Amino acid sequence: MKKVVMISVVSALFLLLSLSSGCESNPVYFRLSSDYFPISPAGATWEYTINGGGSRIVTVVDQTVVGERPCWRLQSGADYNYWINEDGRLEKYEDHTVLFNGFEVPIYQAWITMLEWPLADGMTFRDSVSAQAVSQGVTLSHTWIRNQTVTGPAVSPDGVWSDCYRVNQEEMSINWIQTAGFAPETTVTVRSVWLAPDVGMVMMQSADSLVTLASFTGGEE
Amino acid sequence: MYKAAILTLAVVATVMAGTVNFVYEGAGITPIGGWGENLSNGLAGGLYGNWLFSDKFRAGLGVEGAVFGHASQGSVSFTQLKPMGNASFYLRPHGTAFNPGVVVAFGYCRSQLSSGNGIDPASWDPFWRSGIRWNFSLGSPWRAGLGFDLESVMASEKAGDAFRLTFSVSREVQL
Repeated sequence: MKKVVMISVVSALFLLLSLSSGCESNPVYFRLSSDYFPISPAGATWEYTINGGGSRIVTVVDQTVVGERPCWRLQSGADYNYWINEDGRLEKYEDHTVLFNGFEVPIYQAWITMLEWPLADGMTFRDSVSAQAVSQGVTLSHTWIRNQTVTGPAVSPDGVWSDCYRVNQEEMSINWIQTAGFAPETTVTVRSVWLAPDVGMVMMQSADSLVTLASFTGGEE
Repeated sequence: MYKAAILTLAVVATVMAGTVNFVYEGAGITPIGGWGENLSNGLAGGLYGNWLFSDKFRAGLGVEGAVFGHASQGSVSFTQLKPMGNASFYLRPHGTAFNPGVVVAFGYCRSQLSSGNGIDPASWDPFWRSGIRWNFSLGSPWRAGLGFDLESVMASEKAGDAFRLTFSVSREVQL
């Protein structure tokens, strides 16, 4: 009987060692429990530095209702953005306008899912909008396409934040004022955003700027 | 060569043992501590072979697989694979209707997240489990068991704690 016990224990240990050898541990449960875009509560503030000088402060102002849905209002400079982070989705209220004869003509307003939780390496998202409006008797058309790819988890480029996901965003906008003298105008914006657990955006890099988080203060519940 | 030796040892241990209790166990898993915020409850199934060292005490090896989805998105799956060694002690091993017992298990857990068309790297971490069982007869040689466990996957930075409700069917085989 003792022999059987010994052999059983030894084989169990060998089996466990064999299964665990060459395998690595990573904080998957920490990432699952983290909020990668904490847009509440009110008062949360992110202060960013912009390379080449300047800073940008983003603050969660309050809760409000936009498009018949309760959401959080964030202020960045003089601009307001509206966000919902619930049911495993991060949604942003997209407010698209086309500049015509000195007026910002509203052409598309709606909630669009930006990211779905939990993030994982290799996720892709594609969103598109096609809309038209008539202003001063002229038809304005607007096409917007956003492709996003998630990579990670990784340490942020400045080495400060671990377990970040990098979201590469490519946004293309085609505005066409359909009257004589105007041609379709295409704008392409490419940027990378690093999201850190329970902090949110810690870095954003585009062709002409690099924005880095200098400080983060959580709001009061 | 190394793996063949391990397999041989496992087979030798099984053949030399007297009586083995084979158990199939299904479980519902509820994450504790926030890591399941974007996941639904999990379902698990496992197979165990336990050597009867005495009427009351048994120990052996097992493997369990578990999968978690998402309450509203069909594209999320979180999987766990747990090879383990386990031991149990029952107070009334031949009780027809009431045979209470305790179980403990130690092993490794392979955890992997798939979300959308993305897959995160898998993580291997030690894990432990302990729980209680109410075992009863289904008519010889079959028995069944109900119980609940607390378990913890000891991953870095945050543990994957969970609560399990289990149902098992077992039978003893003389080798």
